[in-house]
Amino acid sequence: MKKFVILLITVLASAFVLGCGGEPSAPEITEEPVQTQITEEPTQSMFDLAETLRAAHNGKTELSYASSSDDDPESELAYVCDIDYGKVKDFLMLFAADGSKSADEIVVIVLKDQADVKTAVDMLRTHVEKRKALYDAYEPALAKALNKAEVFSEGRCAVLIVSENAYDVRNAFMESIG
Amino acid sequence: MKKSTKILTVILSALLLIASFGAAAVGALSYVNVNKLAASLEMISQTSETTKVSVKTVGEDLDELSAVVEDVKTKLSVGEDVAQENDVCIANDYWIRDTSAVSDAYKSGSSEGLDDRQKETLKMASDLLDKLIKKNMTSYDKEKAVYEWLTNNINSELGMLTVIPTSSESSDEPFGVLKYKSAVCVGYATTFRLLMQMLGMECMVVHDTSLTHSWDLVKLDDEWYHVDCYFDSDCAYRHFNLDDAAFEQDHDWNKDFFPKAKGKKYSYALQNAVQLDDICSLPELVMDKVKANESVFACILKDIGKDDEALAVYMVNRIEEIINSGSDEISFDHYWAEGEGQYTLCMFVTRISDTIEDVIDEETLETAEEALEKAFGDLYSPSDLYDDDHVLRVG
Repeated sequence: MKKFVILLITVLASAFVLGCGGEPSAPEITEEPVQTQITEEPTQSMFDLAETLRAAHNGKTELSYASSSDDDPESELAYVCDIDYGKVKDFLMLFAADGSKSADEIVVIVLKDQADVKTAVDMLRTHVEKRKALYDAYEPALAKALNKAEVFSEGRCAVLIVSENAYDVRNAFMESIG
Repeated sequence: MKKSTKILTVILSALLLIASFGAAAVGALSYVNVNKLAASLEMISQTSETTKVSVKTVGEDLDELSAVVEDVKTKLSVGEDVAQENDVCIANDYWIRDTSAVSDAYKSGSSEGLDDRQKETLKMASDLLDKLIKKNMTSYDKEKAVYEWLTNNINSELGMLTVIPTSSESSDEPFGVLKYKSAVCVGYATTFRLLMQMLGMECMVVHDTSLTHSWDLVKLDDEWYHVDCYFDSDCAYRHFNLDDAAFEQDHDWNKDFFPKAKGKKYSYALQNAVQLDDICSLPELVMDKVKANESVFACILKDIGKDDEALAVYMVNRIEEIINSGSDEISFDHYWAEGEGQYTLCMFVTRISDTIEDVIDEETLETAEEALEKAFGDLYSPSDLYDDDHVLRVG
């Protein structure tokens, strides 16, 4: 009887151990859709993407470049989008080096979590409104460019395009999304 | 400061901060950690509710806690219009700061208590006033002298329009403006106010409701006037001593907070107004002023009937249309000022870029044209932009 009890305990214990480790595949299945979302970001580096977008923009004015690789990226991004920088994976900004000559601007923000994309897009829209007010006050002729500003999201990216060639810039960006 | 007083200060500051953002009190929150407090204050401020916040300070550094409250206050004042003159952020980057320490020091003759930067500002501003202000000048004369110096000697900066602003350091405060001769709008406004206050005149810095621009209100003979030196850096006297009605044409501000500007006596345009008896002579008057390089002028229309009123409106609108669509070099705008039994038409001509006469004198220009004619002979033709008298063609 004593041997039977020991055997029963051993069998139950084995079953319990196997049971605990017996369903390792379940989490992997639930992670699959997340992996699909992660691919929706530029396949190029920020610098290479900036060069691609700059070429598509093909504007007359010189564009300055800022990105997540800079020394103080958080402060730079805050000029266009004041999102908690911990939520940002990467970003690039191309903008007219002399704002009194042109309002051209291209911004791509790659978020770590798709749930934050809408917030970033809303902030970019607010940024455009503020820029409009600024240009209305100082250089009304250039404010028209901001009326055609495109703000949109794609995958985990929030994007702003102020360019005469916005259509080409947008296409170039879409092609960069893997 | 005693510890208990400090605690009270911190709690009151937090309560004040939250109370300014909402309507109804909705309960109490409690924090024991500085970082949590900062995060929570910012989060609460994004709602439109008033929340009572009590701060438990056990084990916390009170100075650090005070700094957090001040930091959150500062952050919250960026991007939101506030009913105050100072500590307002313009274009997300330029601060309107109080300058009364320097003007008070000038008036009292003692620079005690000023830091080195303020002392240097005081010296530069004092030297400037010594140069500009003469005996027997009226308040208006002094104001005009300061306005003319600022608009003629300070370069306006448009670096604020660049996404990451490129304006030079301190271009938003008298120190940088007087030292480096370069200013954004805030720099012009705070420097003008400093100089006015040093001269014992009442002056305020006004900001617009969208927090993109600032200028001054100055008091002359108990009446307030708007002055915008920044906008006048390329069109002298366009925004010099205007009342609210005139300034509303291209500015918007909190009229409940800032004093009403009703003064007309010192309006530059009105001071030089001429009587116009025949409305059809208006185009000729405008052209004469343009040719004479005048930027601001006005005419008074007295005792006009309804038909004449309609004709006057039509005429000035046509003049505006003709000039603005026909010339890339100048633009024209106007406003009507109503008075007792009369209308006054104030007109402004803005020279968009320097004309050749601004950079080359007439005699040199004539010599250059002669050289061109001599060298090219039959190929030579006079410049299309100027008539035979080298005066800019309009329309």
